[in-house]
Amino acid sequence: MLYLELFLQGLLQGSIYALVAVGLTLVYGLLRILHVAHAGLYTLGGYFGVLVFNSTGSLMLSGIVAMFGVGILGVIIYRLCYEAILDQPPYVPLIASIGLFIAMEELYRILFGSYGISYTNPPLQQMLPLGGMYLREGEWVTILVSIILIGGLAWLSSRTRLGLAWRATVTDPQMAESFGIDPIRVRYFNFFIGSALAGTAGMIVGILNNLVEPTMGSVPSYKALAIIVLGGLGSVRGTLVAALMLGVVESFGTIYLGNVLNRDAIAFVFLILVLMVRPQGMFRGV
Amino acid sequence: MLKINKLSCGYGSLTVVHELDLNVSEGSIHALVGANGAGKSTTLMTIAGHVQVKSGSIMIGSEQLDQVPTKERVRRGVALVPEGRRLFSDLTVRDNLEVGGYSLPKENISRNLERVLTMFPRLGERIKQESGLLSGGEQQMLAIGRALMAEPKLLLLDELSLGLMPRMVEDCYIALQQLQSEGMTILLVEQNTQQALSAADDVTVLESGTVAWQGTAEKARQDSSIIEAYIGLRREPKTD
Ligand SMILES: Nc1ncnc2c1ncn2[C@@H]1O[C@H](COP(=O)(O)OP(=O)(O)OP(=O)(O)O)[C@@H](O)[C@H]1O
Ligand SMILES: [Mg+2]
Repeated sequence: MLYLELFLQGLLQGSIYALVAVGLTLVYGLLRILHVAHAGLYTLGGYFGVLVFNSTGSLMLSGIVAMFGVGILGVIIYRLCYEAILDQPPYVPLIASIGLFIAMEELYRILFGSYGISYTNPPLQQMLPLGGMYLREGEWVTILVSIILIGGLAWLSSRTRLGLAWRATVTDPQMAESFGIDPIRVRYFNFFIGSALAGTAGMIVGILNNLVEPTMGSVPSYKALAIIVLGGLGSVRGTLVAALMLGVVESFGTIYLGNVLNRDAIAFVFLILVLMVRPQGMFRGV
Repeated sequence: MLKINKLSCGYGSLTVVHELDLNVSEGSIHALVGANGAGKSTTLMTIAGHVQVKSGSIMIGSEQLDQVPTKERVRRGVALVPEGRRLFSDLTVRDNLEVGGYSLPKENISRNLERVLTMFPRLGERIKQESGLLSGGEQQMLAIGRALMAEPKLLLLDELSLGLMPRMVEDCYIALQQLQSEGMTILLVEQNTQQALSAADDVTVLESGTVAWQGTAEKARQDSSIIEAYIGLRREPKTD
């Protein structure tokens, strides 16, 4: 039972990583930009969630704001920050992105204070035994939301016209345009979806930890970068698997190696080991 | 149908094609031939909207095509089979074809899909396969099929026979003639001059981005010195 519970905890953590890292992969796959500021959007999702919930008490409404608000902001960031520098060498958008991430953290500090915000009336904290597993409601919801969102993404990408346009554009934007696909719309869509997922993840983490702080995006940002490398840079499927694996490894690692290394160190040791064996990542292709 | 008037185009500050005049009348096959680097692909890519026009104009019917945004050109009836095929290699054969018909309503897509699969039954057998895993010949069929999905009035074909075995080349040219008989206009770029001349109605020979010779294919066929003088007649189909 302990193993199963550890495994489940790992999947839980992994699904949060997945929600963050998928957005990063989407952006990298389409534009070859390492979108570091993505983690700033994750933090923003946390803030939207806690602020809207504390003032309205509606979990539904905070979820919608965190998801769509952050999604739209992602598009705005693309439009204002990246669009003009797309044809520059890759380090230009990378530097812009790092700068933007730092600026976002500082902005949150100024706007919301550096000590972080908690839920005045924390939702989803009850223990809920299901199938012999003791998890909090919030944790079950996390698993459910991740499955729905990732499943939705898979459906969107493989079964819809928009998804077809997106996949074609990732492979060859010029040819996609030749057949009537608007590459700009595809990019907006891409940033919207990726950012909305990150915003949702940020809100979930805010609820689970009952704390939203300006710097909560830092560690996920390193981890998400490492995950997308592990997943084969640009491969959504690879990213999902890598994220879940990392979650599980961390979960077991904290039990067995917890007195030597902390959780984040375990994650990075794992990533370094995998990349030493497979520097090209574990997966290739979309 | 297609009227190119004093077109200069190129990349950045580099002009590759200089003051090109070229007319392709409706329902005809026009062959654009010339040595490597003459600017054939550049010309096609300019018509498709991927290379910058520096001066001159491209008219299709009575509309100035060079003013039409790239993504709209397929709706004006222009479809491209680019050099190197450039399939969406991670996508299946079916998805590639569906992207080809992206600009059209659903009914047209399924009708055209049927048509393309009748024309190239091999694609039907491979419909769920990732297109990057197709053989060279199958990839070429798919590149043509993808363009046909868009119901083009003007088909731009770059290096139809490159890398194909003679049997396949024959098949492709038979397909071309069939398309022409259905009223399609075709601008054809070929390394295999012999093959191009036998299928085309008119010929333009490009040399360093300018027209070296222009006339009917019949004339070029009769007086082979014309082509020989510019690029040499290639009797063997070039293989990669
Ligand atoms: N993307 C590009 N950027 C800069 N120069 C280019 C580009 N593509 C082609 N050129 C240059 O333009 C010139 C014409 O190239 P183009 O590909 O049009 O020739 P081509 O007639 O199609 O030759 P081939 O028979 O080898 O395909 C060449 O000198 C080439 O180096
Ligand atoms: Mg060429």
